Amino acid sequence: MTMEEALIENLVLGNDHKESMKKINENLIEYGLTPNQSKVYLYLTKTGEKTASGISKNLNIPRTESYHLLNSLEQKGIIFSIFGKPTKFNAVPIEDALTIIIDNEKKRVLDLELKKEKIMTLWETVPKYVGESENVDGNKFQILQGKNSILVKIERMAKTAKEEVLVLGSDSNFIKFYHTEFVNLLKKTKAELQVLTTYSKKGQFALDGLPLNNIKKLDESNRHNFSFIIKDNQEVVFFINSGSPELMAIWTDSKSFVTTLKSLFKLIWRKSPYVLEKENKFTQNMSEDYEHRLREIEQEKVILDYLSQNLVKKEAKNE
Amino acid sequence: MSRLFSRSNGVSEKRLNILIIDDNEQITKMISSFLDMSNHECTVVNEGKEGLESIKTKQYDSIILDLAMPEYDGYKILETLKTEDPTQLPKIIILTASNIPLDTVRRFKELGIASCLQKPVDIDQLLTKIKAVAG
Repeated sequence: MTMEEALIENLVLGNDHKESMKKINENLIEYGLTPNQSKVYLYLTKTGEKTASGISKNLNIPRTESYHLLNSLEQKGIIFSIFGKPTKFNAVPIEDALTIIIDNEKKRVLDLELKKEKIMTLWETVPKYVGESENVDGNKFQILQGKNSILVKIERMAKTAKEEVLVLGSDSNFIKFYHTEFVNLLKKTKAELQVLTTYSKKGQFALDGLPLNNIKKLDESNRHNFSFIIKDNQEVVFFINSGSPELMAIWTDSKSFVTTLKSLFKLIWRKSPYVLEKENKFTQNMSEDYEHRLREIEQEKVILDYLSQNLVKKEAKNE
Repeated sequence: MSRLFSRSNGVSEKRLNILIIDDNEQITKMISSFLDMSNHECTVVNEGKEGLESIKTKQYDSIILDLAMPEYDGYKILETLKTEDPTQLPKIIILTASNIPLDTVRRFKELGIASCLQKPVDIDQLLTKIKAVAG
C-alpha cells in the first residue's frame, strides 16, 4: 500500500468505512464493472483527478492495463478526462454514475428485444437441418443459477400452465424471493394454484398476497429443507440448497421426475390442513368464549334484577 | 330479610342444604344471597377439585354444578362420581353458560342428572328446580 493509499484508507475514510467501501466495490461488480474497473472508479471518486501513471502506481496496476481500464470506464461514461499534459482523469459522482450504468443496461435490453425479431426473420430464411427436430421433449434439463434466471423460468411456467401449478417448500426458501415478482407470478397464473408450505409466524410474510384458500400447511414431519414447483404434468423446478448464498435450481421436463414429485406433492396435500382452517378454528373458539361470557353476564343481570326488585318491595312494605 | 323471600303462604317450607360449584364468584355470591334470603342454607365452592371433596364429605339436598371450570371441570367431577359409585349419584342440577349438544344432555339424563339448565336462567325457575330435585 502506498503512502497515499494508506492516508486515504485510514485518515480520510477511517477504518470504519473500509467495510462500506468493500461492499460498494462488490455491488459495483454486480453493476457490470470488473474488479479492477471498480477499484479505479472508486479510487478516483475518493482522491479526485489523477494521471494514468499515478493511478497505476497507487493501485499497483500495470500501466498498460490502467490505460485500458480508464478507456473502458470513459466509454461507460462514469469517468472523464481533463485536457492537459499529462491527461488527468476524474470520476462522475457515484449517484450519476449508477444512473448512467442503469440507463446503459436498459438501452442494451431494449436493443436486444428489437434485435430478436430481426434474428428470427433471418432465421426463417435459413434452410432447416434434419437433426433440428430430433430434440425430444421429456429429456431436457437445465441448471439455473441466480435468483433472476430462476424467476424467469418460474414466470414462463406460471404463464404457460394450463391445469395446475404446485408449489412445495419451507417458507425459509420463499423468503429468498421476497421483494421479487415471485408471489405476483404465482397469483397471475390461470391454472389452479396449490401451495404447501410451513407457513411459520416468522416466514409467512414471504407469501403475502396469495389467497389463503390455496395454501396448505406442511406438517412437522414434512419440513425437509427442499422446495419445488411443478407445472402441469410437464415441468419442474427443484431448488438446490447448496449452502452458497446464490440460489440454484434444476429445471427439467423429465416425465419420471415430474410424476414422482407430483405424486409426493398430492400425497402430502391430501393429508395437510388448509392454513385457513387453523384461523377459522381460532375464530370459532373466540366466538364460543364470547358467547359463554355473555351468558354469564346475562345470568348475573337476571339475579341482580331479581334481588333489587325484591329489595324495593321490602322498602315499600317497611314504609 | 330471609322472611321476606320465604314465600310464606302459611305453610313453612323445608330449609334446604344446597352446594354451588362454579368458578364465577359473582354468580355464586348472588345465587347464595338469593338462596339465603329464601331461607335455605348455601355452601359455595369456586373450584372443581374442592367441589368434589365437598360432595364426598357432606350430604346436600341439591348441588348446582357448572361445567366449564379451569383445571378441574364439571365433566371431570361427574366422571369421578360415576366411576366411584354410579348408583349413588347426588342430586345435581347442571347450570352452565356453555353450549351443550343434545346427545350430551341425553347422556346426562342416563347418568341420573336431575336437570340441565343453560344460563341465563330465571331465578324463580332455578328455585323451582332446586325444590323439585330436593323432593
